[in-house]
Amino acid sequence: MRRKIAVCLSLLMANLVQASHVNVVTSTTDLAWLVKEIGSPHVQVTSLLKGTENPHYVDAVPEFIRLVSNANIVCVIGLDLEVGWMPKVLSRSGNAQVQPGGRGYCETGKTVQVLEKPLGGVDRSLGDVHPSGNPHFWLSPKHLAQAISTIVDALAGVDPNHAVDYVNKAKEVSGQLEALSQKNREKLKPIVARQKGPLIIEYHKEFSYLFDSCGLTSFGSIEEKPGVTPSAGRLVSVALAAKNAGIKVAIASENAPKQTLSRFTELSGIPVVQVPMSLQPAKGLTSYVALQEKLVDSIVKHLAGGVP
Amino acid sequence: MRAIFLLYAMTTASLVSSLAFGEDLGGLKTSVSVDTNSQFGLSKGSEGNDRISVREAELLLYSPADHMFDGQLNVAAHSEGGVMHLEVHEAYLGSSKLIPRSRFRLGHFFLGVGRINQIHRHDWPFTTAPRYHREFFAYEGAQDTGLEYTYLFPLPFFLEVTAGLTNGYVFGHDHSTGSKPKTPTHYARAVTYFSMPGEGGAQLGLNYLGRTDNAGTKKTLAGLDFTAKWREAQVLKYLIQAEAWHQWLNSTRQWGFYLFPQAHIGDGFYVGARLDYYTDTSLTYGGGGAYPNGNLTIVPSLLYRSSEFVTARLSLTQDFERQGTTTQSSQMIEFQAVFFLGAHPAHDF
Repeated sequence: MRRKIAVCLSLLMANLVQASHVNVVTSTTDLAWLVKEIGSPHVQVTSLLKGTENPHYVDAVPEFIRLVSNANIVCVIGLDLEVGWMPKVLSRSGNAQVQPGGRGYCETGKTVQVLEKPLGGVDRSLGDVHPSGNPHFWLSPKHLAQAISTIVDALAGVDPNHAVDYVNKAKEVSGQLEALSQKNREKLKPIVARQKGPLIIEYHKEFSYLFDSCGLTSFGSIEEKPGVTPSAGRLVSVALAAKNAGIKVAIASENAPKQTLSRFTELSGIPVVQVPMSLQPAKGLTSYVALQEKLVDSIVKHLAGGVP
Repeated sequence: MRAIFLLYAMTTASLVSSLAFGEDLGGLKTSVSVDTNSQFGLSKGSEGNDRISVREAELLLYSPADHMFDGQLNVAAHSEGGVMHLEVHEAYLGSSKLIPRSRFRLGHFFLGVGRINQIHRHDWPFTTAPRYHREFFAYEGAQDTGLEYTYLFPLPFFLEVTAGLTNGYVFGHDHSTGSKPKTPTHYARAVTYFSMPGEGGAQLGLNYLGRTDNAGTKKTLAGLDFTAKWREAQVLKYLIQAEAWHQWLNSTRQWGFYLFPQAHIGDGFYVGARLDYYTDTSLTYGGGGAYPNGNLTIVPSLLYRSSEFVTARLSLTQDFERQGTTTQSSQMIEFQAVFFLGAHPAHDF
């Protein structure tokens, strides 16, 4: 009997501790890191994704629905990155506060200066085009910092008692991200200064924001149309074009098709470096600084011929 | 009927063009799906209709109706025996904002039981319904008008319960007005989710449905449904889907099941094979003794997915029908092509 009482009391304590925190659920691990940086110690943050997935192609898994049903705030990238699954997760959660337009709904892409917003008509003959612009902004510290205001607004709206803490912490984090962006620019400065043309090609246009913040120019993408595996003919033409243009390295996410990338290297002689696109806590990649170092050092290594 | 089709086509065209030119439709999302199905019998007695046909063309409209409620309308034109029928598949008002941890819908919809009964046919992982599903539900799914409520329990694991009550004047897919039942259609489903080894996940559902029609025929259904998926990047690497159902129809008993595994083999291609079985265990010989009967169907299939929006499937149906001491077999080949236009389809689990 005493043991049952002790178990009940500890469960009650755990719930009370949980109730005193703002429960934030994010779509990606990178947003989870950012919310934790801004919101600690007042937030408990859970990322729905593990960082290894392609966030375009995820199912509305029941476990996601359960986690969102308990959330005070849901933060998403937006810009149609999660359009295939997040609306279903939100509507099935039965949680009115986190529905779009609710005070607990935080779409971080809304305050980011979006790149590559298509001009003119967009339809699926162009591939998997994002009509609102390129959603992969989190890879650039400068652009990730632009998402901070939506997170602060959501946190302050749900937890006004700690609004001042969130605002102050946000300024600190914004400064850290600017410093990180500056550090990236310094690392790539010698390369950028020397480049007479593009030196790098991407498999999919996922690195536009990172390149933009560092002053790197991209040769374009190996994909002819976004989200469409390149045909044999496309591979040949883009490999030869990249080779002739003196491209030094191709960069791709870990999810990009390995067979296609190997074929590209075979045809062009250009090495491909595959990098994580998000934090992967289960694999030990828990800090955004570490992710940035991994990305930028990979690029520098191949463009400068050695680790800086 | 031609006038209705013209109206349907004009409504679709004007809606799509309105969206293309950015007119304010209050956040209305539109999606069109078309399912073409070509069935050719390879043996005498097969179910193939030996023609290429548009099995279904569906227009789905959905959006918030206001700050509290959402609305959905699904109008479909589909071929029945070579004749196109236009009908409302779903038209309901719902909300997931009114009652915490809950959602409900009021109107006309596919009943929230089972796995494939709830999913539009063009989204099934196979082309045609297993025999038990056609016998117990309908060629696509059982739909009716009523109220359905779903509650998500506040537990450290996913457990969701659905209960529904609908008119029950008709059951399955019936174009008649029907007649008032002695007991309306009522159903419940409990579903849970758990991880599977190798970064997968699985959903298990327990289902019940009951109805007594105007003539006093009592129908009771009990079933299990199971879906397991393993995803890698944009590819559904493995899928296992299965359902098993038992029906009591007054004093008769029938049961059936299907098992469908599928695997990705590269470059947008998937192979799968469905095994399904149906039998009536209450059939007896005139003089007594169980009458052996059963339908066993094996359907290997090859799926090609050009993108999330276009799929093509080739299936070969091998059907064995046993009645008493006689077993007859038939074969049919089917080619299905499905495409989606408009709003991004949801990635349901």
